[in-house]
Amino acid sequence: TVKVHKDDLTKVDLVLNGCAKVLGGRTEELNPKATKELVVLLSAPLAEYDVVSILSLNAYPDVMALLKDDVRKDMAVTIIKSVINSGTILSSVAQVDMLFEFIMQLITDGDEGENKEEDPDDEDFQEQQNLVGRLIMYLHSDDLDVMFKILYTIRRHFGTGGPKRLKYTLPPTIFAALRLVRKVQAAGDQSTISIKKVFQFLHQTVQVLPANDCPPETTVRLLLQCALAANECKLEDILYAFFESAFTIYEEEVSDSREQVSALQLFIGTMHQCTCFGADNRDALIHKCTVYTSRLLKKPDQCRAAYICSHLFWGKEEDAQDGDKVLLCLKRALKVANAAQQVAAAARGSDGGSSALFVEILNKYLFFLDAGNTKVLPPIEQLMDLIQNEIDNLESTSEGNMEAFYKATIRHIQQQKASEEGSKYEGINV
Amino acid sequence: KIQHILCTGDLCIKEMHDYLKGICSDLHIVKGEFDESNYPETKVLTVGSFKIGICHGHQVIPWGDIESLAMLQRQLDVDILVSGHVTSQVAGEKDKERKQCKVLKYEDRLLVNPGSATGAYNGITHDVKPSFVLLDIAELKVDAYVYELVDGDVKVEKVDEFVRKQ
Repeated sequence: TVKVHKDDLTKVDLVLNGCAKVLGGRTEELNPKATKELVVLLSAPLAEYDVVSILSLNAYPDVMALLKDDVRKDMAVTIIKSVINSGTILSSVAQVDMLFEFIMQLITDGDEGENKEEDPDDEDFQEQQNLVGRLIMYLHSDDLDVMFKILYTIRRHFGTGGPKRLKYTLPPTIFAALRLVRKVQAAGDQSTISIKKVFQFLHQTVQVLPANDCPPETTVRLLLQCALAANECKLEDILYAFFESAFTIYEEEVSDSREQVSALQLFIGTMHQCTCFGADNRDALIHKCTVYTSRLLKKPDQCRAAYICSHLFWGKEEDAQDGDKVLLCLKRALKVANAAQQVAAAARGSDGGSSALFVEILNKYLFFLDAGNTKVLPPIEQLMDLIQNEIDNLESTSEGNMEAFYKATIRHIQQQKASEEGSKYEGINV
Repeated sequence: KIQHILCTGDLCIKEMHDYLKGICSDLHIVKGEFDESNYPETKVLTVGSFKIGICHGHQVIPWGDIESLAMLQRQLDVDILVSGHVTSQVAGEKDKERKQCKVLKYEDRLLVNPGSATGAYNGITHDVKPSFVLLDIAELKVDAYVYELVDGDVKVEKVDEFVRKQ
C-alpha cells in the first residue's frame, strides 16, 4: 500500500487498523516470526514518509501495542532516530502529543509497571534516554505561545518517567526553556508570553530533580544557568531566588570535596557575571561564598577559592570595584597559603606543593595591578621576596613547577613593563 | 588527516565521546560544566616541540579573561592554552580595543578558544555560531585556522602564525 498508494496515507492507516483489529483480539503472545513481520510492516511507512506524516496514522500505536516491550522500545528508538536523522521539526502540540504516544515505551514505566524492571545502569537504557533527550531539539515552534505549550506538553509526558528517567529528560527540557527565554527577551514588547512565567516553569522543573536521583552538582549547575538568564533579563528577584535555591542544594547535598570546589568555582564565576544585583543582595551572596570557601576541606582548595573570591569585589562596572576589599581578600588567601604550608610541612616534612600557592596569589595581585588597582604594589613586593626566599631554600626538585611558574611570572612582568601598559608596572623591581 | 583532537569538554553523553573517537583515536578531553564522566580538570600534552594545555575554562575567573587565562598558561607552563566555556576570549574592560577573539598571541604564547562545535546554548553568548580551530603544527611554528558555520556556509580564517621563541 505504501508503494502503490504513496500519496494516500489513509489507505496505509486502513491496513494498520485492519492488522490491529485482527491481531488485537488474540490473547497468546506473538511468535518471533509474526513479530518480525509486524516490525517490517511498521518500518515500511518510516522509510517512505517523514515522521510528521507517520503521526497521522492513528492505528500505528495500536499495532505497536501488539509487540512485546523490548521490540516496542526498538521501534520507538527507530522512530526517534528517524526524526533526528531527517531533521524533521515537530511544531504543534498535537504532533508532540502524538509522537509521545508512539514512543510511550521509552517514556514511562508502563501501565502495569512493566518497565519497572529496567536497570538504570544498563548502557542500552542510558542510550535510549539520551536519544529521548536529544529529541527535544526537534520539538520547536517559532510561535512563542505554541513553543511554551510544547514545553508544558513535554514536561507533562516526562513527568510520568520517574527518577530513572527524569535526570536524562529534564535537563534538555530546561535548556529548551532557556532558549525560549532568549527568544522572549528578543521579542520584547511584542512577546505574547510572560518571561516571568517561563522562569517559573524553569524553577519548578529544576526543583523536581533533587528528589529524583539527579546528582546535586547537576541541579546546582542548572540553577546557575537559570541565574545567568535571569541576570540578562535584569530580573533581580528571580536571579536572587535561583542563587538561593542553588546555595540550599549546595549546603544540604554537595558533600564530596572535589564537587564542592567545582561548585564554588561556578558560584563565583556566575556571580561575577551578574551585574544586576543591588548592593544588599550582592553582599549577602558574596558573604555566603566566602563562608563556604572557608569550609572547604583542604587548605590549598580553601586558598584557591579564597583568591578567586577577590574577583567578586572587582566587577565589570567601576561602581562594583572595591580595591580595598580585593586586598583584604587576597590577604586572607595568603594567610591560608601560610597555614597550608605549615600543615603540609608537619605532615610530610616537605612542602607538598603548597608554596606554588604563593605564586598563584602573586599572579592574582598582578591581575588587579593590570586592572588599575595600584594598592597592590606593596603586597606584590613582599610576596616576591617571600617567593624568592622559598625558591632559594628549596631542597627537593619536586617544586620545579613552582620555579618555572615564578620565572614565567617574572617574564610576564618584564613584557608588560616593555609594553604600552608599562607605567603600571614601574613599581616592581625584577 | 586529523592526528589529535583537543576537546574542552561538555560532551555530556557517551555517544558524543564515541563520535569524536571515531574521527580520531587520539582524543584529549577535559571536564566541562555538564560532564559527568571522569575527565581531568586540565591536561597537558606535547605535539612536536609545542606544549599544549587544555582546560574547560569555567575554573578560570573571570570567564574568558585573557589575563586570567594567561595565569593558568604560566602555571601549566604551556605554549598554547586551549580553553572553552565562553565562546571567545576577551580582554578586560581596560583595553577597549582588544576585540573578542578565538586565537590570540599574548606575550610569547598562544591562547586558543575554539568555541562550540555544535552552536549549543551558551549562558553568556547569544546566537552561537558553531566553530572549531585547526592547528597546523610544524617544527617551529603553528598556523591556526578558525572554522565557523555562518548561515549555512563554512568560513575559514587563518588567524595567526605563532612562532616559537628559542
